Amino acid sequence: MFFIPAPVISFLTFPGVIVHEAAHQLMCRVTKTPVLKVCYFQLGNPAGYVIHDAPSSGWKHFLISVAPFLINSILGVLICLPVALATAAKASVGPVDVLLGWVGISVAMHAFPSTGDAASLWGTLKAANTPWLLRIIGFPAVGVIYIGAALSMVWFDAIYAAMICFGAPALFLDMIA
Amino acid sequence: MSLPPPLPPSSAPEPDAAPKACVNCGSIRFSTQTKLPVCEPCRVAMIKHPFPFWVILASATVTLLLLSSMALSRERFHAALHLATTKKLAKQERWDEAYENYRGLMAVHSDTESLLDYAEAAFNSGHKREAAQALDTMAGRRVSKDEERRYNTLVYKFQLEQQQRQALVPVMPLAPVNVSPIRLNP
Repeated sequence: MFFIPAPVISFLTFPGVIVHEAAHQLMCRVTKTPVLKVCYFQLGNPAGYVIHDAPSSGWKHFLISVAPFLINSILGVLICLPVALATAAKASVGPVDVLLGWVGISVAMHAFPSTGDAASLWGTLKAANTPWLLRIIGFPAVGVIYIGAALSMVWFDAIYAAMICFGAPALFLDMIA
Repeated sequence: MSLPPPLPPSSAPEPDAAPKACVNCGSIRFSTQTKLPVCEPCRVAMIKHPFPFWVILASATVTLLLLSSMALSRERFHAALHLATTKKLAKQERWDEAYENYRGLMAVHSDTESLLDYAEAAFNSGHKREAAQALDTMAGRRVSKDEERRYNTLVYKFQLEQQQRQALVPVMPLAPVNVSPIRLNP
Protein backbone atom coordinates (compact mmCIF):
# COMPACT_ATOMS: atom_id res chain seq x y z
CA MET A 1 0.00 0.00 0.00
CA PHE A 2 1.60 3.27 -1.09
CA PHE A 3 1.08 6.67 0.52
CA ILE A 4 0.07 9.78 -1.39
CA PRO A 5 -0.30 13.03 0.61
CA ALA A 6 -3.93 14.10 1.08
CA PRO A 7 -3.50 17.49 -0.68
CA VAL A 8 -2.25 15.69 -3.80
CA ILE A 9 -5.30 13.40 -3.78
CA SER A 10 -7.56 16.40 -3.20
CA PHE A 11 -5.92 18.25 -6.09
CA LEU A 12 -6.34 15.27 -8.43
CA THR A 13 -9.97 14.79 -7.41
CA PHE A 14 -10.96 18.43 -6.87
CA PRO A 15 -14.41 18.13 -8.55
CA GLY A 16 -15.41 15.82 -5.70
CA VAL A 17 -14.35 18.33 -3.03
CA ILE A 18 -16.37 21.11 -4.68
CA VAL A 19 -19.48 18.90 -5.00
CA HIS A 20 -19.05 17.79 -1.34
CA GLU A 21 -19.03 21.35 -0.01
CA ALA A 22 -21.78 22.48 -2.40
CA ALA A 23 -23.92 19.59 -1.09
CA HIS A 24 -23.43 20.82 2.51
CA GLN A 25 -24.32 24.37 1.46
CA LEU A 26 -27.34 23.21 -0.54
CA MET A 27 -28.70 21.26 2.43
CA CYS A 28 -28.12 24.30 4.69
CA ARG A 29 -30.32 26.27 2.32
CA VAL A 30 -32.97 23.53 2.27
CA THR A 31 -33.03 23.35 6.09
CA LYS A 32 -32.93 27.17 6.38
CA THR A 33 -29.66 27.16 8.30
CA PRO A 34 -27.56 30.35 8.03
CA VAL A 35 -24.17 29.86 6.38
CA LEU A 36 -21.25 31.96 7.58
CA LYS A 37 -18.46 30.90 5.24
CA VAL A 38 -17.83 28.41 2.46
CA CYS A 39 -14.47 27.24 1.14
CA TYR A 40 -15.08 25.03 -1.91
CA PHE A 41 -11.48 24.01 -2.41
CA GLN A 42 -8.04 24.71 -1.01
CA LEU A 43 -4.71 22.93 -1.05
CA GLY A 44 -4.64 22.15 2.63
CA ASN A 45 -6.34 20.27 5.38
CA PRO A 46 -9.31 20.34 5.20
CA ALA A 47 -9.59 20.60 1.42
CA GLY A 48 -12.89 22.46 1.86
CA TYR A 49 -15.35 23.44 4.55
CA VAL A 50 -18.72 25.07 5.29
CA ILE A 51 -19.16 27.05 8.49
CA HIS A 52 -22.81 27.29 9.42
CA ASP A 53 -25.03 28.22 12.34
CA ALA A 54 -26.33 25.49 14.63
CA PRO A 55 -29.35 23.97 12.85
CA SER A 56 -32.70 24.37 14.61
CA SER A 57 -33.15 20.59 15.01
CA GLY A 58 -31.07 17.44 15.23
CA TRP A 59 -32.63 16.04 12.04
CA LYS A 60 -31.55 19.13 10.12
CA HIS A 61 -28.01 18.70 11.45
CA PHE A 62 -28.05 15.05 10.40
CA LEU A 63 -29.23 15.95 6.89
CA ILE A 64 -26.56 18.65 6.51
CA SER A 65 -23.88 16.16 7.63
CA VAL A 66 -24.90 13.26 5.37
CA ALA A 67 -25.92 15.31 2.30
CA PRO A 68 -22.54 14.85 0.56
CA PHE A 69 -22.75 11.10 1.11
CA LEU A 70 -26.04 10.91 -0.77
CA ILE A 71 -25.39 13.57 -3.42
CA ASN A 72 -21.78 12.60 -4.21
CA SER A 73 -22.62 8.88 -4.34
CA ILE A 74 -25.62 9.28 -6.67
CA LEU A 75 -23.90 11.85 -8.88
CA GLY A 76 -20.69 9.78 -9.09
CA VAL A 77 -22.57 6.64 -10.13
CA LEU A 78 -24.65 8.46 -12.76
CA ILE A 79 -21.67 10.28 -14.30
CA CYS A 80 -19.57 7.11 -14.39
CA LEU A 81 -22.42 4.89 -15.64
CA PRO A 82 -21.51 4.87 -19.38
CA VAL A 83 -17.94 3.91 -18.52
CA ALA A 84 -19.17 1.11 -16.25
CA LEU A 85 -21.55 -0.11 -18.96
CA ALA A 86 -18.82 0.04 -21.60
CA THR A 87 -16.59 -2.02 -19.31
CA ALA A 88 -19.41 -4.52 -18.72
CA ALA A 89 -20.14 -4.70 -22.46
CA LYS A 90 -16.39 -4.90 -23.22
CA ALA A 91 -16.79 -1.95 -25.57
CA SER A 92 -13.96 0.41 -26.40
CA VAL A 93 -13.73 3.66 -24.45
CA GLY A 94 -12.88 7.10 -25.83
CA PRO A 95 -11.65 10.42 -24.43
CA VAL A 96 -15.18 11.38 -23.31
CA ASP A 97 -15.31 8.20 -21.25
CA VAL A 98 -11.98 9.05 -19.64
CA LEU A 99 -13.36 12.47 -18.66
CA LEU A 100 -16.61 10.99 -17.34
CA GLY A 101 -14.69 8.31 -15.44
CA TRP A 102 -12.38 10.83 -13.80
CA VAL A 103 -15.20 13.18 -12.77
CA GLY A 104 -17.41 10.30 -11.60
CA ILE A 105 -14.71 8.61 -9.51
CA SER A 106 -13.55 11.97 -8.11
CA VAL A 107 -17.08 12.85 -7.01
CA ALA A 108 -17.75 9.41 -5.50
CA MET A 109 -14.38 9.41 -3.69
CA HIS A 110 -15.44 12.45 -1.66
CA ALA A 111 -18.83 11.04 -0.68
CA PHE A 112 -17.87 10.19 2.89
CA PRO A 113 -18.46 13.03 5.37
CA SER A 114 -15.34 14.26 7.12
CA THR A 115 -14.46 13.56 10.76
CA GLY A 116 -15.29 17.23 11.35
CA ASP A 117 -18.86 16.54 10.18
CA ALA A 118 -18.96 13.44 12.39
CA ALA A 119 -17.70 15.33 15.46
CA SER A 120 -20.27 18.06 14.96
CA LEU A 121 -23.07 15.50 14.49
CA TRP A 122 -21.88 13.61 17.58
CA GLY A 123 -22.35 16.75 19.66
CA THR A 124 -25.93 17.12 18.43
CA LEU A 125 -26.76 13.44 19.01
CA LYS A 126 -25.56 13.64 22.61
CA ALA A 127 -27.86 16.56 23.40
CA ALA A 128 -30.68 15.74 25.81
CA ASN A 129 -33.49 16.82 23.48
CA THR A 130 -32.36 14.66 20.52
CA PRO A 131 -35.11 12.25 19.37
CA TRP A 132 -34.42 8.54 19.96
CA LEU A 133 -34.99 7.62 16.30
CA LEU A 134 -32.33 10.11 15.27
CA ARG A 135 -29.94 8.63 17.85
CA ILE A 136 -30.61 5.11 16.55
CA ILE A 137 -29.81 6.22 12.99
CA GLY A 138 -27.22 8.83 13.85
CA PHE A 139 -24.83 6.97 16.18
CA PRO A 140 -24.12 4.12 13.70
CA ALA A 141 -23.76 6.73 10.95
CA VAL A 142 -21.13 8.58 13.01
CA GLY A 143 -19.38 5.24 13.63
CA VAL A 144 -19.36 4.45 9.91
CA ILE A 145 -17.97 7.92 9.14
CA TYR A 146 -15.10 7.44 11.64
CA ILE A 147 -14.38 3.93 10.33
CA GLY A 148 -14.41 5.30 6.76
CA ALA A 149 -12.00 8.07 7.78
CA ALA A 150 -9.67 5.56 9.46
CA LEU A 151 -9.78 3.22 6.46
CA SER A 152 -9.03 6.06 4.06
CA MET A 153 -5.39 5.33 4.97
CA VAL A 154 -5.81 2.08 3.01
CA TRP A 155 -7.59 3.78 0.09
CA PHE A 156 -11.10 3.01 1.34
CA ASP A 157 -12.51 6.12 -0.34
CA ALA A 158 -11.12 4.99 -3.70
CA ILE A 159 -12.32 1.41 -3.12
CA TYR A 160 -15.78 2.72 -2.20
CA ALA A 161 -15.85 4.85 -5.38
CA ALA A 162 -14.83 1.88 -7.55
CA MET A 163 -17.39 -0.33 -5.84
CA ILE A 164 -20.34 1.98 -6.39
CA CYS A 165 -19.28 3.26 -9.82
CA PHE A 166 -18.34 -0.10 -11.38
CA GLY A 167 -19.41 -2.86 -8.99
CA ALA A 168 -23.00 -1.68 -8.49
CA PRO A 169 -23.90 -1.44 -12.22
CA ALA A 170 -22.29 -4.84 -12.87
CA LEU A 171 -24.28 -6.35 -10.00
CA PHE A 172 -27.48 -4.75 -11.28
CA LEU A 173 -26.89 -6.13 -14.80
CA ASP A 174 -26.23 -9.56 -13.35
CA MET A 175 -29.49 -9.38 -11.40
CA ILE A 176 -31.69 -8.40 -14.34
CA ALA A 177 -29.94 -10.52 -17.00
CA MET B 1 10.18 52.60 46.98
CA SER B 2 7.23 54.49 45.49
CA LEU B 3 3.99 52.88 44.27
CA PRO B 4 3.42 52.60 40.46
CA PRO B 5 1.09 55.22 39.00
CA PRO B 6 -2.55 54.14 38.62
CA LEU B 7 -3.59 52.82 35.19
CA PRO B 8 -5.44 55.32 32.96
CA PRO B 9 -9.16 54.62 32.51
CA SER B 10 -9.75 52.55 29.38
CA SER B 11 -12.36 53.62 26.85
CA ALA B 12 -11.92 50.49 24.71
CA PRO B 13 -14.68 47.86 25.13
CA GLU B 14 -13.91 44.53 26.70
CA PRO B 15 -12.64 42.15 24.00
CA ASP B 16 -15.13 39.41 24.93
CA ALA B 17 -18.07 41.72 25.33
CA ALA B 18 -21.22 40.71 23.39
CA PRO B 19 -21.79 42.84 20.30
CA LYS B 20 -24.36 45.53 20.76
CA ALA B 21 -25.41 45.56 17.10
CA CYS B 22 -25.65 43.26 14.06
CA VAL B 23 -22.10 42.41 12.97
CA ASN B 24 -23.13 42.72 9.33
CA CYS B 25 -25.23 45.88 9.05
CA GLY B 26 -25.05 47.50 12.47
CA SER B 27 -28.76 47.19 13.21
CA ILE B 28 -29.54 47.11 16.91
CA ARG B 29 -32.43 44.66 16.53
CA PHE B 30 -31.03 41.12 16.80
CA SER B 31 -32.78 38.12 15.29
CA THR B 32 -34.56 35.90 17.76
CA GLN B 33 -34.12 32.85 15.49
CA THR B 34 -30.38 32.47 15.97
CA LYS B 35 -27.68 32.91 18.58
CA LEU B 36 -25.52 34.66 16.01
CA PRO B 37 -25.14 38.41 16.57
CA VAL B 38 -27.08 39.31 13.44
CA CYS B 39 -30.41 40.95 12.68
CA GLU B 40 -33.28 39.05 11.03
CA PRO B 41 -32.72 40.38 7.45
CA CYS B 42 -29.04 39.46 7.71
CA ARG B 43 -29.95 35.99 9.03
CA VAL B 44 -32.27 35.45 6.04
CA ALA B 45 -29.51 36.65 3.72
CA MET B 46 -27.11 34.15 5.34
CA ILE B 47 -29.57 31.32 4.68
CA LYS B 48 -29.44 32.30 1.02
CA HIS B 49 -25.63 32.41 1.09
CA PRO B 50 -24.87 32.87 -2.62
CA PHE B 51 -23.16 30.27 -4.72
CA PRO B 52 -20.25 31.97 -6.52
CA PHE B 53 -20.54 32.34 -10.28
CA TRP B 54 -17.78 29.79 -10.95
CA VAL B 55 -19.61 27.22 -8.79
CA ILE B 56 -22.80 27.82 -10.81
CA LEU B 57 -20.72 27.43 -14.00
CA ALA B 58 -19.18 24.22 -12.65
CA SER B 59 -22.66 22.93 -11.76
CA ALA B 60 -23.81 23.64 -15.31
CA THR B 61 -20.79 21.69 -16.62
CA VAL B 62 -21.59 18.77 -14.31
CA THR B 63 -25.21 18.87 -15.53
CA LEU B 64 -23.99 18.73 -19.14
CA LEU B 65 -21.73 15.79 -18.27
CA LEU B 66 -24.68 14.11 -16.59
CA LEU B 67 -26.86 14.56 -19.69
CA SER B 68 -24.17 13.21 -22.02
CA SER B 69 -23.64 10.37 -19.57
CA MET B 70 -27.34 9.49 -19.67
CA ALA B 71 -27.36 9.56 -23.49
CA LEU B 72 -24.30 7.29 -23.69
CA SER B 73 -25.65 4.97 -20.99
CA ARG B 74 -28.87 4.40 -22.90
CA GLU B 75 -26.95 3.08 -25.92
CA ARG B 76 -24.57 0.94 -23.94
CA PHE B 77 -27.08 -0.52 -21.54
CA HIS B 78 -28.53 -2.93 -24.13
CA ALA B 79 -25.10 -4.14 -25.21
CA ALA B 80 -24.04 -4.72 -21.59
CA LEU B 81 -27.32 -6.47 -20.79
CA HIS B 82 -26.99 -8.68 -23.88
CA LEU B 83 -23.51 -9.78 -22.83
CA ALA B 84 -24.59 -10.36 -19.22
CA THR B 85 -27.55 -12.45 -20.42
CA THR B 86 -25.27 -14.49 -22.67
CA LYS B 87 -22.83 -15.13 -19.83
CA LYS B 88 -25.71 -16.25 -17.64
CA LEU B 89 -26.93 -18.64 -20.36
CA ALA B 90 -23.44 -20.14 -20.55
CA LYS B 91 -23.32 -20.42 -16.76
CA GLN B 92 -26.64 -22.27 -16.84
CA GLU B 93 -25.17 -24.52 -19.55
CA ARG B 94 -27.86 -23.50 -22.04
CA TRP B 95 -25.23 -23.86 -24.73
CA ASP B 96 -27.38 -23.55 -27.86
CA GLU B 97 -28.83 -20.20 -26.81
CA ALA B 98 -25.45 -19.05 -25.49
CA TYR B 99 -23.77 -19.97 -28.77
CA GLU B 100 -26.35 -18.07 -30.83
CA ASN B 101 -25.92 -14.98 -28.63
CA TYR B 102 -22.11 -15.16 -28.67
CA ARG B 103 -22.10 -15.58 -32.46
CA GLY B 104 -23.80 -12.20 -32.77
CA LEU B 105 -21.44 -10.63 -30.26
CA MET B 106 -18.25 -11.85 -31.93
CA ALA B 107 -18.57 -9.15 -34.59
CA VAL B 108 -17.80 -6.50 -31.96
CA HIS B 109 -15.76 -8.43 -29.37
CA SER B 110 -12.35 -9.82 -30.11
CA ASP B 111 -10.88 -9.93 -26.63
CA THR B 112 -9.46 -13.19 -25.31
CA GLU B 113 -12.12 -13.76 -22.67
CA SER B 114 -14.97 -13.31 -25.16
CA LEU B 115 -13.25 -15.63 -27.65
CA LEU B 116 -12.88 -18.28 -24.97
CA ASP B 117 -16.52 -17.88 -23.92
CA TYR B 118 -17.57 -18.20 -27.56
CA ALA B 119 -15.33 -21.23 -28.14
CA GLU B 120 -16.72 -22.96 -25.03
CA ALA B 121 -20.32 -22.28 -26.07
CA ALA B 122 -19.60 -23.41 -29.65
CA PHE B 123 -17.88 -26.62 -28.49
CA ASN B 124 -20.58 -27.53 -26.01
CA SER B 125 -23.39 -26.80 -28.47
CA GLY B 126 -21.80 -29.08 -31.05
CA HIS B 127 -20.32 -26.40 -33.31
CA LYS B 128 -16.84 -27.91 -33.18
CA ARG B 129 -15.49 -26.26 -36.32
CA GLU B 130 -16.43 -22.78 -35.06
CA ALA B 131 -14.88 -23.58 -31.68
CA ALA B 132 -11.64 -24.70 -33.33
CA GLN B 133 -11.58 -21.57 -35.50
CA ALA B 134 -12.03 -19.38 -32.42
CA LEU B 135 -9.17 -21.16 -30.66
CA ASP B 136 -6.97 -20.75 -33.73
CA THR B 137 -7.43 -16.97 -33.70
CA MET B 138 -5.97 -16.91 -30.19
CA ALA B 139 -2.52 -18.01 -31.34
CA GLY B 140 0.26 -15.73 -30.11
CA ARG B 141 -1.85 -13.83 -27.59
CA ARG B 142 -0.67 -12.97 -24.10
CA VAL B 143 -3.11 -14.63 -21.75
CA SER B 144 -3.67 -14.82 -18.03
CA LYS B 145 -3.25 -18.06 -16.09
CA ASP B 146 -6.99 -18.56 -15.94
CA GLU B 147 -7.36 -17.97 -19.69
CA GLU B 148 -4.50 -20.39 -20.34
CA ARG B 149 -6.23 -23.03 -18.19
CA ARG B 150 -9.54 -22.54 -20.03
CA TYR B 151 -7.81 -22.73 -23.41
CA ASN B 152 -5.95 -25.91 -22.45
CA THR B 153 -9.15 -27.49 -21.10
CA LEU B 154 -10.86 -26.90 -24.44
CA VAL B 155 -7.89 -28.26 -26.40
CA TYR B 156 -7.85 -31.31 -24.09
CA LYS B 157 -11.57 -31.84 -24.72
CA PHE B 158 -10.92 -31.71 -28.46
CA GLN B 159 -8.11 -34.25 -28.17
CA LEU B 160 -10.21 -36.49 -25.95
CA GLU B 161 -13.06 -36.42 -28.41
CA GLN B 162 -10.71 -37.21 -31.28
CA GLN B 163 -9.33 -40.21 -29.39
CA GLN B 164 -12.82 -41.44 -28.61
CA ARG B 165 -13.80 -41.08 -32.24
CA GLN B 166 -10.79 -43.11 -33.32
CA ALA B 167 -11.56 -45.81 -30.77
CA LEU B 168 -15.13 -46.05 -31.95
CA VAL B 169 -14.38 -46.40 -35.66
CA PRO B 170 -16.65 -49.28 -36.63
CA VAL B 171 -14.77 -52.41 -37.58
CA MET B 172 -15.29 -53.26 -41.26
CA PRO B 173 -17.45 -56.32 -41.58
CA LEU B 174 -15.69 -59.28 -43.06
CA ALA B 175 -16.31 -59.86 -46.71
CA PRO B 176 -18.77 -62.61 -47.27
CA VAL B 177 -16.96 -65.75 -48.14
CA ASN B 178 -18.41 -67.84 -50.82
CA VAL B 179 -18.17 -71.10 -49.28
CA SER B 180 -19.53 -73.85 -51.33
CA PRO B 181 -21.77 -76.04 -49.39
CA ILE B 182 -20.04 -79.02 -48.12
CA ARG B 183 -21.51 -82.15 -49.46
CA LEU B 184 -21.27 -84.86 -47.09
CA ASN B 185 -20.34 -88.13 -48.70
CA PRO B 186 -23.19 -90.48 -48.60
